[in-house]
Amino acid sequence: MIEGLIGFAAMGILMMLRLPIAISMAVVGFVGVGLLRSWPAAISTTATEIIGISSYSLSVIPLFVLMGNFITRAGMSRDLYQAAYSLIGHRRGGLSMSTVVACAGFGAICGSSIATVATMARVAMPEMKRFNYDPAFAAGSICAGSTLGILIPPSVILVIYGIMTEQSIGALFAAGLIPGIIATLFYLGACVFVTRRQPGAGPAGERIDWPGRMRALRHIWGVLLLFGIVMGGMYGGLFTPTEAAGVGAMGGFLFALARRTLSVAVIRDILMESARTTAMLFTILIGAMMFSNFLNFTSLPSDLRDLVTYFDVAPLIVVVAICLVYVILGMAMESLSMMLLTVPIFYPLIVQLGLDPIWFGVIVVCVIEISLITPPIGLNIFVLSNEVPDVPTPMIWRGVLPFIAADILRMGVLIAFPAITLFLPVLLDL
Amino acid sequence: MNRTTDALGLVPAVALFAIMLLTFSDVVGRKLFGHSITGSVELTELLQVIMVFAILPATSLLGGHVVFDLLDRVLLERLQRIVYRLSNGATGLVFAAAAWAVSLRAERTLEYGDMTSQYGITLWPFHYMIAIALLLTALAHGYLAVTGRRITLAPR
Amino acid sequence: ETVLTVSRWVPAGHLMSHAMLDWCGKVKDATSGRVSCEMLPKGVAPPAQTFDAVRDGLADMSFGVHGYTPGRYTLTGLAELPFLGETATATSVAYQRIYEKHLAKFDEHRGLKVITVFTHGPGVIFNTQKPIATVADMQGLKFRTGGGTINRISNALGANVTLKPATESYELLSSGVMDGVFFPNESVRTFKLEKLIKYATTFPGGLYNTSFAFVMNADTWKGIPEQDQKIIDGLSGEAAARLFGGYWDKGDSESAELQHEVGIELTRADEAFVAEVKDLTKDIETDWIERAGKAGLENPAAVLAEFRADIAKLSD
Ligand code: NA
Ligand code: NA
Repeated sequence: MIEGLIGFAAMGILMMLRLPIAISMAVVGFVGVGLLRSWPAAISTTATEIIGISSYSLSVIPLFVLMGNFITRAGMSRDLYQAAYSLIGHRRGGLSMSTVVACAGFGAICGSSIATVATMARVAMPEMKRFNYDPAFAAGSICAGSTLGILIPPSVILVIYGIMTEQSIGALFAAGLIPGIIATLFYLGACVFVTRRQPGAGPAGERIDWPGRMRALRHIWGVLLLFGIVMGGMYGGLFTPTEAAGVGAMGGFLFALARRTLSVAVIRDILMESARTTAMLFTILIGAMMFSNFLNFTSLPSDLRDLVTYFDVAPLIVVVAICLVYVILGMAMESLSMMLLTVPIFYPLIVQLGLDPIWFGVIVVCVIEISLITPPIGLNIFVLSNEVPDVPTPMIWRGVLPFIAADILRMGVLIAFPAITLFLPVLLDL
Repeated sequence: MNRTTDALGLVPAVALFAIMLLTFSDVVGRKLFGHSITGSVELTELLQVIMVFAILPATSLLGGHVVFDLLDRVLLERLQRIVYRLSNGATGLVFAAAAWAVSLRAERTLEYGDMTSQYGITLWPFHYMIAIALLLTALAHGYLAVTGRRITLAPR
Repeated sequence: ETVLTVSRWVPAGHLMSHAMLDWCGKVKDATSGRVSCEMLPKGVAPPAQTFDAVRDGLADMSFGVHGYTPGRYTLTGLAELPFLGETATATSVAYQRIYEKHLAKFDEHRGLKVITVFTHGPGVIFNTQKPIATVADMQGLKFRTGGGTINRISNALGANVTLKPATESYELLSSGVMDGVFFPNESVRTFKLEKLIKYATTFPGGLYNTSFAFVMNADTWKGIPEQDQKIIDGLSGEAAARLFGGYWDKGDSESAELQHEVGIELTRADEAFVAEVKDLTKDIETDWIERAGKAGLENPAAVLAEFRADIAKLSD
């Protein structure tokens, strides 16, 4: 147990010294394996994990990233926002609610929360300013809404969880859908709650007549089509999740092409940006695998298990405790690295306790969503404050609070009723 | 800077586009013509290696790795710059060590004669390519450490 | 006192995990506890890199599949040919004998102490669409293979094959992306395919097989005192081949029972079908003979004949 804890401490120090998180994990993994096994073994595991990046099943990651980038370029976020606005914009808090709904729709074709927050900020923020929204409330709804994309399939984070734990990606995606819809409803509830307590925070927008609504809705057929093809094809026996990513990327490409948003230079930019994101993700994955190989030689996972067995703790308590650890870690850590670091420790425990690994994956993603918007380190908050420099960061922190409350409420529901999460995977026999 | 990164990015961009086309045609071929593309899995794997490692030096040069930079905000600017240079130097050394570890494996791949299963493509050139890419990545970090520069792409 | 670190890339409940632990238990008893094993919670490397990982000392022991690294092993290919034997025990024991007698000296396992080589049970065709009783029945069906000799066999039979990881089998079959797989009986149960598969076709001796080795790091072996080395040697080779083969056979029969229970329709390939397959796959055998000859093996055809004869003798 002690070696494992020393490893964690060493990694924390390296990270504080501004070494990339991937490098910090790799260094600790390397030295740990070197000391616990031998140096040739450490060199071997380094080469194996680096070359292991070629693995076919990982190709799902660059392809879903690429799909999201094509879609972002095609300007889908604006259309989604306008469609949502035309339906609910005239209500009190309607612009925030439109933002949340548009984010959810965008999340259905994009797996990354960063892309969502950046584009939605450009689309929704000016509108909310025009209607004199409370900037904190406006920023909060963009920040929180953007996290929906990593739970609603397709989701890069769920893919990485699936690869780490060898769980079916199809089952994980199916499991993410209903909790994603619940999350959207809870966020809408948060919007209603805020505007009820403070009506000035979100004045009503213009009412759009039905012909206008139909016009706005007509523009979002592409999103529905693409989501339909990717999910329908995956569960209808046309292709595997990995292949779905390729089909989705191709669909995004054709869609952006049809909208005349692509030139050769733009295509090259999108491809290079997606490749860079992939290289960054894969470097973290290599580091995490090396760190997890080190943990494999320590007694940390088994000691943790013995501890739980010894104190005879109820599985539910263990899950709640794990979630608390995540929320605390999530305040200070970047989300993907946090998941990659902790899954090798918590996952065996979950399996040991007889809990469902698919359900746990969704729970982990939900907690990661929270970590994206909790101060002081919340990726979405950072991205948003870059996009809207005139809104001070502490104001964004205040704005996300009601949404964090909605998140915690949703976590409670999902933990108490695993059947909600597992309904679709069971229905689809995955 | 854009011109340099464009040149560096051409190979990985083409590789990623090829992966997309390959996966898509594989599905279409299987569904419409009853035959998938022979060896699409191993071709994807090789293209993926090319994509990831060809873009890695540029990723590092552009500061693309996730760094815990919360302390940056509280450090004095002078100290911040020193930490930036030192951490890039250390990261460069780690990448150089990784290059060496992979080159050892590449040597063995050559000795074993490992190849892909469908087309029998020999693997050692790819493993040496990874080692070289890691070395270039190490040099990119070395450059950042020596010059102290922070490079961002100019918006187009 | 030596504690051997054992790595596995299959789940904890897999028969290979049990087989390795069983072997370890025998070693521990025979050495009065001087040599024992510790199973790592998870594998130290992906399946294809396992031999390298043991060679580099990442783990002291593990088992691997020769076919996962094409181009590296030539001679072991004889244990992957069609129509070898009805039980894993017979093919494993005969394989280990022929390996010791003719193949070991070529040192294809550099840096490794080979405890034993072995095979699984006879390879079967499983599919979700229709009974397969002739080569023509296979046309138009989409099969997943994991590469290696079975890939060549299925290509020769004109099947539409795609190489995908074995762990994706369930997803591929349940979604209808693929219609069938080639596996030993045992794997239907391991990958929980019994609800998806409707038809099975078995061949006398199996349509294909897979060559495995259970290995130890060479330096670890040198570090074990001579008296214990002798004891371990007594539990290795044929004894270990029998043990591993036995576990595969047990897995096969349990899975066959399950398949019967859930009503999977079983077809036993008749003579005409076997002759058809033999004809279409004879190149694969001559190809092995040629490559083994190039690798330095004297009279590979005779070695193969000896191997087949020994399997037949052991099967009686
Ligand atoms: Na998504
Ligand atoms: Na956070």
